[in-house]
Amino acid sequence: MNTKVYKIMALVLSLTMLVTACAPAATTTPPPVVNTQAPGATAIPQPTATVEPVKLVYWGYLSETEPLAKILTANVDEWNESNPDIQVELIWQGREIITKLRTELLAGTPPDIISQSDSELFPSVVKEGLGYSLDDALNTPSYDDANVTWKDSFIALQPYSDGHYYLIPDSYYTSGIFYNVNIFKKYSLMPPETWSQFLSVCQTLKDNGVQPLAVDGAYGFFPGWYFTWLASRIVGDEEFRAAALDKTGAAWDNPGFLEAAKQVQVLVDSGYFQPGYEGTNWPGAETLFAQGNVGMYLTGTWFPAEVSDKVGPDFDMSVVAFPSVEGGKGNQTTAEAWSNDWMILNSSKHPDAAVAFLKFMTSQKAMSEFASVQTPAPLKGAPLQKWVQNQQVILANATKIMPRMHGIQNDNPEWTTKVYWVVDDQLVFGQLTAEEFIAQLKEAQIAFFTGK
Amino acid sequence: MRRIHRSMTALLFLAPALLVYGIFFIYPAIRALYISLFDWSGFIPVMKYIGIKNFIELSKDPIFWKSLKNTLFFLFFGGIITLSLALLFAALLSKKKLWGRRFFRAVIFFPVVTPTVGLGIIGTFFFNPNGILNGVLNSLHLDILTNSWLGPKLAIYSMLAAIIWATVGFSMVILLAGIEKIPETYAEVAELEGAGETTIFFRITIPMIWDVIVTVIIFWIIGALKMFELIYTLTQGGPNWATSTISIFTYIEAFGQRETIYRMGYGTAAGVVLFVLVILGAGLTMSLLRREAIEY
Repeated sequence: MNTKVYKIMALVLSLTMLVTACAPAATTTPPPVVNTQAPGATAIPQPTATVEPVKLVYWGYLSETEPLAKILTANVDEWNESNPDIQVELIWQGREIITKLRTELLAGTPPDIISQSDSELFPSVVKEGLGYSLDDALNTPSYDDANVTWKDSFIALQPYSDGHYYLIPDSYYTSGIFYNVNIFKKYSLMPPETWSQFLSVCQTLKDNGVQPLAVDGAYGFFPGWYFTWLASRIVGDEEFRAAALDKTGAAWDNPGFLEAAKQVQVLVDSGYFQPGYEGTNWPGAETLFAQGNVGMYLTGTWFPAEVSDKVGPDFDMSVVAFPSVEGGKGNQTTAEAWSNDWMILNSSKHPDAAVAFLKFMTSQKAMSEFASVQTPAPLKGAPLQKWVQNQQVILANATKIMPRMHGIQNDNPEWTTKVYWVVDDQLVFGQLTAEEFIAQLKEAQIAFFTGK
Repeated sequence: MRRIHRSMTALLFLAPALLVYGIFFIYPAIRALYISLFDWSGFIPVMKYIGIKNFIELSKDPIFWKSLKNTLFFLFFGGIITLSLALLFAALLSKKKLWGRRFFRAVIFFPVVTPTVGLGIIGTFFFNPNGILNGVLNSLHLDILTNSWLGPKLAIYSMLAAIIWATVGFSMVILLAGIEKIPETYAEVAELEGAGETTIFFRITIPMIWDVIVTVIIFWIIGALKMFELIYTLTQGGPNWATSTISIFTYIEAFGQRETIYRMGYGTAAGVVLFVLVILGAGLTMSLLRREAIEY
């Protein structure tokens, strides 16, 4: 073949690739909107002509094979079977759901409903005004009882900082001290209710060769929890939250915060945490506890679901509220609220249909099997698995409910990650004294806000 | 005229590849530079122009500087150790009489073909306080040497060891290919003249594979500066940012997840700094280390 033929072939190939790259994407015409009324739901205006079913796209944060995902998938299938006019397409996206959502939002093709933890939804999509306000829908009847509003069917709901509701929980957790029931029985220990009892239990365990506490030092969230709780009990929830936002850092001069840091130092200096805790990453600490090697573990009530298949047949545990601190000025019964939630995006063309669907998903029947997979349902009176039965007691005794980490993670996640956990880790690792901790926290906080 | 024709033909054949390169590399790089000038969460199209404020904030961010310091630590010390080991292994494995040559080559190269996430998971089992390393030390009655290998003091060194283990095979294979290309006559003549193994290696082998060594160094610089998966799987940049690099910092700032920060503009600014480092690193290496290739 001569040079001319080669040149022509090359030109044709290049042009073909160019045309292919520039070809517009295929578009589809959206089906006509049809609304229908689901049982127990708010009445939805009926269209004048029924054409195509409404299609909702629901992205879930779980993986398909997870036990809770299987229950939710079955619920969606049941909904689709009995609601041919509102069909839900469920796609399990995994924990990277927010990252994937970003791409779809920018492309203009987001799903109608997503689910993820409130700590990820609030500072991302809700903060950007992408959430559909559920204020009105929450005041309509619940799925199960027309005399009870949808809002009142839940244990509690977390509004966003603007006072509006955007999230509906698919699970509801609190935090507390999990303890090994068998170890406590063996040494005739009672679950601690006060901080001095807690320290006494730690020492008794240590004296008997049992590691009192476990913590994943490699992830700042876990070590930071101790100071958060102590600061809340000793100084106050709102005071702690306000101190985290104080650009001058002066709020940390409150002597109560120093006292809280000293109590954390007591845990460190007494050797109550497991050897090598500085480098233990999740799920190292919970595995140690599940193996019966540790007496107590501060975590959330999602914990049993993570270890239920790792524990031995005789393993038994329970949970109590974080101890009150004698003489503390804060609320001694505050409980934390953690949830994984559904959210309807305000770009959804069928928000009423989405509300109807979520009412079904939060019905007693739909959530009746949650306990079997160690997931506390967010409904009042919902059954709980044995190991988290006390969650009801913790929440019933709480005169105040705070968001996770007493709100600091929602208020300012960047400060939490780059200031609070950085300095707190040094306290928990024994690199700082309590006084140095307060001084460094102030300094780092001032530098953080100044750098903005 | 003939030269112009030849150039046009070459350009025609290169056009598809250049187009793909432009769309997937050049355009994103320019776009990243643009985004770094904005305050943007990445969730909505609206971006707030703030000029170089992201870069100014980076200059005051102690976590960014810690991440940069760690990046340079892995780059220099990891590079020196990896290259030295790779040269040593390549020199040893180039000896045809060595027993088990193929076995050792496979074992050293094995981490290169293993998914990096898998290597990170193996690393967690190895370095965990109750993991393999401490277990072996305990079984050898060397309890005194057991440690918190992923704790704040040692995590960076453990990570360095993991990085070297994961990457030395790649460098070794390239150097080995270069060494095996050298005609044996040079070494034979040197031996006849009384040169020892070490002299042959440093005076003949290394100069003759110098261009291969420079290539390996450039690959290393680019890979080390961008390294992400192994570090994220093993330590997520922790504990307490002790093993964080610019890539990890960029990811956490821009994409969050556990750390729900979601600052795409700020994270992209850190990414631009990384891009500049890669260009500078590769460019400086090429200009400082290039010499005339020895042909044989």
